[in-house]
Amino acid sequence: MSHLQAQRAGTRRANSGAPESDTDAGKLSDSTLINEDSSAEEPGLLIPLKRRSSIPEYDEEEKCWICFESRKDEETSPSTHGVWKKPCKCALTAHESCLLDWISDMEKNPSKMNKTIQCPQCKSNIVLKQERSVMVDLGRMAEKLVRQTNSIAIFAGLGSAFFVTCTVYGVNAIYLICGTKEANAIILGPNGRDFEWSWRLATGLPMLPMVLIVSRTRLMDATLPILPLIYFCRDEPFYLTLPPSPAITLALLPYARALYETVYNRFLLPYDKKWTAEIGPTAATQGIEEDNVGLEIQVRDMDGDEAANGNLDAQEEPAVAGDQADAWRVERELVLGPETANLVVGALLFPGVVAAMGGVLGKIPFLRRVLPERFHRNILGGCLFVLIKDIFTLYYKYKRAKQRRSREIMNYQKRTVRRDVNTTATHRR
Amino acid sequence: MFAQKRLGKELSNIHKSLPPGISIASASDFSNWKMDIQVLDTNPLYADQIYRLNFKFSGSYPIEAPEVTFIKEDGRDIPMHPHIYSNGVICLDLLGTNWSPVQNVESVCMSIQSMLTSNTKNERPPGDDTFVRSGYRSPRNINFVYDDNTV
Repeated sequence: MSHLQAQRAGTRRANSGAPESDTDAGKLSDSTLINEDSSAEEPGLLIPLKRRSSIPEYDEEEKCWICFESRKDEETSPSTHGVWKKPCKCALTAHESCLLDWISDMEKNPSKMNKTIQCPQCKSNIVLKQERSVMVDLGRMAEKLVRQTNSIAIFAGLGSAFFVTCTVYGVNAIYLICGTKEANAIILGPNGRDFEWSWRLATGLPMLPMVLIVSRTRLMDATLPILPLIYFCRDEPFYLTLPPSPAITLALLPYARALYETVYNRFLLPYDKKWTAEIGPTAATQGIEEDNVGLEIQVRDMDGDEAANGNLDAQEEPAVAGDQADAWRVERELVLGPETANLVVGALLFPGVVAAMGGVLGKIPFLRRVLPERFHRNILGGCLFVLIKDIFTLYYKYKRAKQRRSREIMNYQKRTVRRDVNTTATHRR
Repeated sequence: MFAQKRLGKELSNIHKSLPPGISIASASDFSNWKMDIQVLDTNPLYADQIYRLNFKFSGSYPIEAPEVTFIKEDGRDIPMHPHIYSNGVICLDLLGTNWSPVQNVESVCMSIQSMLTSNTKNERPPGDDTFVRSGYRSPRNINFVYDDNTV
């Protein structure tokens, strides 16, 4: 194409003065810049235009604003840059191919692609005539669309991956807790044959990990007792057996939890609070005793584990009203940190722990006789685990408080290194 | 080819005349030129100082912008300016998103000269330390945000 244009430029020079119509040029190349003049070509303007063309058509010093070659240069050596164009009202002129190169370069940048092309000097629009192609238009639209939808697609992809992960977790948790037989009944239907991907499964399974995490906080205390009723009680009527059916057991669990909490709060919480306060720094020394901050974090970790049955908040809430050391603890709790990770990981591992405890209980012949179903042994195991852990945590706290009470600072003695002080102090206990 | 022809034209223009305060230090080939610029008024930040600009042209100059940085050479220093990093990288829209082939070496020098002349702040851009440590030498790879119209 450039060859053709070079030829045209040559002819133009040869018979200079003969005005060329721009539409003519447009036919020759499929993408041509339209001179600004052509738009003003009205009948009334024909005469001045003709007059202009009678004097030398161009200034010899006129140069292309892109390649800086002047008309004069082209007389000595033929240019390969195509015909001259004057695309806007200001003094800038340029070679057609220079302009087209420049426009193509701007189109490389997607952010500029949709902007109109402007003269860098006078900022007037440069009009481009090009073959209309449905294909190119469609392609350009598609490019734009793809750019816009990319981020949405990424979010959707991550979201569905998360959904699938949650669902798989939910299935695994149900099999772990309920045992194969009951889980089949829950997921595949009563006979294990008429499997149907019902809304219960579609929403319940992916919600399982979420519910497990949330149940360690107080956020869902109001709704938690109702959820199992919705998800596990199918159309069949209630009937009470001993031991109760899985659906009834699960429905009863939140109430059991509430009962346990009440008992704990009534009888054990005062001790818990007292010992926790003893372990923590007193108001006067907070923030100075670096060592105690470390201790405090450890204590909080223990609390986190305990919350498997929602105990965490049962202990924490009254603490708000407690002394200043308690207030300091509550403040720490709000910070997202290892405690949150602890809470989430603990919640997600809980089905595994429950299944392991159920397995241990299954080794006892007496329990095997009383509770023939794996599911019931698991639930009992889970409850036992929570109970044992609470007792251990409380005992641990008691021991810590006792240790703290026994602490005293050794006076500096020659030859005694600081590490030795610690060991002697430990030995004394 | 394209770039060479145009740069040849620019060079012959530069040899003919240059605005005051701008001079050519070296232009031995068509890929790397060095220009010296000087602030002419009595701006205390730059008085009696000459700074050296390094121009790097790609094969598609002037369609593509040249890479323009200040360099430390022959006792020339990097001028103090809130848009000039201490490794010489210049944050100027003209050299990035607002480049157009109508610009040339001379006009870029004049823009940078006036950028210095109008400056009164004796400071580096925010985050200069981390920027210089990150080792970016090529301004092309940086997405500057041209938010400051005062300088």
